[in-house]
Amino acid sequence: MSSKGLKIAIVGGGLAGLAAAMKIAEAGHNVDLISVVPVKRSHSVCAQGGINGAVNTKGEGDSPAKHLDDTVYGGDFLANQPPVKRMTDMAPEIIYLFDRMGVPFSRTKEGLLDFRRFGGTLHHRTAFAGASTGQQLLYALDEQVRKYETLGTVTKYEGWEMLSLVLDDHQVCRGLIAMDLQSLELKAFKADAVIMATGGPGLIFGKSTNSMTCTGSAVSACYQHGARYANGEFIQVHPTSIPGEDKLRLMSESARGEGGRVWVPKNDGDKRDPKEIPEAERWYFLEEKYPAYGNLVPRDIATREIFQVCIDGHGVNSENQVYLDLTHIPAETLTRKLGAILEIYEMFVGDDPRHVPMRIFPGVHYSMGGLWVDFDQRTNIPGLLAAGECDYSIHGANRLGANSLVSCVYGGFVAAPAAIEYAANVERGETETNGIFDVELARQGELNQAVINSEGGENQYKLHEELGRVMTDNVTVVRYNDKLKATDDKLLELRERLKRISINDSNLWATQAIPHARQLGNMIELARVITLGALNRNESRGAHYKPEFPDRNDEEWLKTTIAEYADEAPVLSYKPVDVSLVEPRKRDYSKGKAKGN
Amino acid sequence: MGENGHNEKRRLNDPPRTFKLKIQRREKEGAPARWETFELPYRRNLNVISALMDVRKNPVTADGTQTTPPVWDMSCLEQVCGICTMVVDGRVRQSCSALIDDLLLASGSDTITLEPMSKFPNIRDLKVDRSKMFDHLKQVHAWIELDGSYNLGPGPQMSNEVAQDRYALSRCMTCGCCLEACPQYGDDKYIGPQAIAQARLFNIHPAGKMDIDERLAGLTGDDGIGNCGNAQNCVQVCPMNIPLTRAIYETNRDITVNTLFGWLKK
Amino acid sequence: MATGPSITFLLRKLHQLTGIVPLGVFFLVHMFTNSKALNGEAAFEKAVQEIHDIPYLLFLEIFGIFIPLLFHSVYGIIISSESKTNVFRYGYARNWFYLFQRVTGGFLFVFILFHVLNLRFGLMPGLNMTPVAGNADLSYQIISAEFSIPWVMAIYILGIAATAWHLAYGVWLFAVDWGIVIGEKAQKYALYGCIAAAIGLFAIGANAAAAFVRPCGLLPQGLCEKPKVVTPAPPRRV
Repeated sequence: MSSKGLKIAIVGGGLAGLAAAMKIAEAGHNVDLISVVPVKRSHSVCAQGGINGAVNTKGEGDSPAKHLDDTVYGGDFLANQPPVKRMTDMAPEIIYLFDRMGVPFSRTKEGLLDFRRFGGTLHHRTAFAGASTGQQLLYALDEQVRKYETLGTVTKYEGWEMLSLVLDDHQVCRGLIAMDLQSLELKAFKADAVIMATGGPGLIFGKSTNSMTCTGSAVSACYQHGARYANGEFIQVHPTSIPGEDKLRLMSESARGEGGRVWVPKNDGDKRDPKEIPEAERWYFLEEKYPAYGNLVPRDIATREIFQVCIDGHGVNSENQVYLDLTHIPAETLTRKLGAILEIYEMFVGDDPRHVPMRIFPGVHYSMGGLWVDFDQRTNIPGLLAAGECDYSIHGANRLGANSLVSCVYGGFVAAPAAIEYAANVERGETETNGIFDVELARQGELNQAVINSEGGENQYKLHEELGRVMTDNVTVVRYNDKLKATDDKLLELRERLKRISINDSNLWATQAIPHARQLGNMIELARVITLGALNRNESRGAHYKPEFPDRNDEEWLKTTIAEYADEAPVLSYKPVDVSLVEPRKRDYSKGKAKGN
Repeated sequence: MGENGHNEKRRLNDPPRTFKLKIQRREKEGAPARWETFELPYRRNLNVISALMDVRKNPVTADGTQTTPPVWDMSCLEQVCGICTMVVDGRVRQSCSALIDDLLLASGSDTITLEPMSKFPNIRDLKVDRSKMFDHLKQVHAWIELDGSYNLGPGPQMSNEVAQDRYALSRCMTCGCCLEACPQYGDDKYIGPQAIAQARLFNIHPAGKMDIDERLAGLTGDDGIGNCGNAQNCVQVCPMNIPLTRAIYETNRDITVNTLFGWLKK
Repeated sequence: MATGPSITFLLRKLHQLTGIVPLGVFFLVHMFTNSKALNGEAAFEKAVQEIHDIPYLLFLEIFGIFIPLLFHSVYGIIISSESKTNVFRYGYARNWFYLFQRVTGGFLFVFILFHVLNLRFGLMPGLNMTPVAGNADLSYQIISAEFSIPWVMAIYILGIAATAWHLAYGVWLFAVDWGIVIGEKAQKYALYGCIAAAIGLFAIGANAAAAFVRPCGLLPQGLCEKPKVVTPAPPRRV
């Protein structure tokens, strides 16, 4: 078998997908890059803070080993440590490579890369490009991949959505089926290996900080084909996001740092203008409950308290929002210290936070869980790999700030040679693969037709809202077993009702109704994995918090959750975590270490 | 948005109970355009996207006719991906950062008009195909030629000033506002400010400079930089405040020196 | 793969260049000559005669003025035809200037045709039938008679205004198109300079036109050289 000219299909054109595409094309192989949006518009653009790499340019004695320690500690020891070590070792190289690719990183007086301190570490380890590092890194890879596109080694399918894998009789991945989102044409992509790089599943929670493309649908399709899904229950929630009608947008925590006070009206549903509510009728619940730290309690506590206050019905206007009030600080001071982030608030909410208290609420931000992969980013399905947020491998139970970008690139850089190696050695039984693509094409066509024909009056967008609401209420910040059980019941109900939707678009050209209905079905399956994983895990660890089991329990639960698809319910099993490099210890940020981002 | 500094931002004092969304509809590329108006309950937090989501959920026009849901593109909703660009009340912009309240206040009308960008193929309703913009990036060689992506140490040293100039250019999210507003763009006769600024982004990089001739060649073709009419709408409508005209004029200088008079240096 | 610049690109550059050299320079000389009318008929006619005395005049007229002018105007019309103007949606000052450059260009095409036929050749039906070319001694009277007709005067004033603006803003366009003026601040100050130049050119041109119907134009007559007592001009033809 020739070692050149292999065909690798990559699904998703964010940082991880493009990183893999670049490496594969550079090695002289061909890539089909499938993405629901033009790859330059992928969700990676939203990452603001920076990219971590222990370069130790500030003479602080930083090292990849310390980066490893911070990462596994921040992740509450749920991550297998060898891949984390490999990532933290590779991180400085990754940053330097992006520097060579022309990312406009901020620089020092001497013209070298500048690094700043970020959450969860004491070192200046984060390289950054303005306030849009993710955008800048993505663009750099996009540019490199575009070069390979002009050379003909990379072929982009932008505006295509993956619907399913194509497995042969031996459960080996031979390619995939994707749909053109304009014509709804289905196409089989034959590939020697497939790399999933589709990002997170934030839309399962209705509104999140994720982009509208982050449905988790393609990953769910893989899971339903037999790919294992790991640690699904670990969903990171950012304490302060700006609730919008359409999505949640991040509000930097520096607003609290600069003296912002969090409160709700004492009278539930108080409709008055916040400025007219007298001091005595405001409940500064963080200051009351945590007199020592006040509004500066660690992030996870802030998240839980804000969340609980709203779930208990005390939110502003009885909605899921509390005030984050800066109006007691002179406007000029605010402009000087927080100008840029206040402008974001003003742009999307329309109120000037210098004069009107901001309304904020915790927002689903990142999924630590994802497709199970081995230390070379390979899933349990031969020929199927995964990289980036859609794999589970790096962040354990909680992700540190500025680690997501580096993990995406790392995932892509590891997946690419692993895919090549697999593809170069896989046995190609052409006779076996003949026909399987047609069978799967036909099946997907039928599924689309079923959506078109379905008549039952249910509204798919309302179902999605219901899904988001039940998941946000019960499977995010604070989790109770009875509510998790009820949530799964609700998910089963939604799954049934989804079969009775009537799509409201009679024009099938470029319709969004059919793709959305397909995504919704996949989202519900993944929601069950998240919910039942949470229900089963009777401890609190990282982002997973159960008041009934408030402590981390390493004896029973220092284990990776593995979910495997079955029609009635996901089958959960548990694998020990490789903690061979850093001895697990209690996670405690009250002394010395700052809490992660 | 921040142009009013820390003066208190104006909001609608007496918001209406409902407002109207007038949307240009087109069934598919080449089909005739028509208008449909939808009436929606006003909410203070609405932006154009969430208003469209409301319509999509229940696509019934203001006069009670059941219709198809409007199709539009959206992704990040934070004005960094550029996909949701459309013409809102006659002006091209991202619809995610277009607040209903601001629009009603600015127009004094109860109706907000949505049209697709006019300079790109209109796939359906508000959705357009901007793939040409990505092709233009190929034309101007908008990347740095690497020896390889393996570990070769850090990149070239450069001042933070250059890095920040490059950052300003590199924020371009390929949204197409500059092209939509450019009176010279369209009919494939002018490559437009977006690609010129991206060429500039690499021409000022110490390693990127080495390929300046190829980038300038991409800009001195039939659709090249000479077709800029200096109307300067691009820099006015750019949501990322990219110094587009400066990039164009700096490139003009490079072309004057390298392309027009370069042969004299030999 | 770097190929040379395309024909279109070179034509654009040539278009930008011809507007300045020779056409802009010619306009300055033209206004200078016209302004001699401020000093009376004799001074003007002397100036016209001096032009007549330029060696290789026809050659210069054809290659230095006529061909560049034809190219600049015809290619300018082609450029204008590619415009998709949108000043009502994007009513920024420079967008209006963009439109105005094309409108003045179109107007000037017609105006210059009229002007050349009217005075250079004396072929405008219903108007003057004596060409100025070759009749330096009659030039003042020809022009004076034409400019006494109010609508003709109005057309010339408009023509001068359009040329002054088209040239002055054209200089600004040349400066940015050739990368001489770059930054936002430089653009702004260069534009101020060009606007001032436009006003100045218009004032000079309009005043010179006025000088054909009123001694010393619009200025107090004391400012101009007193017209010499008319000495019947002896024909000095060789």
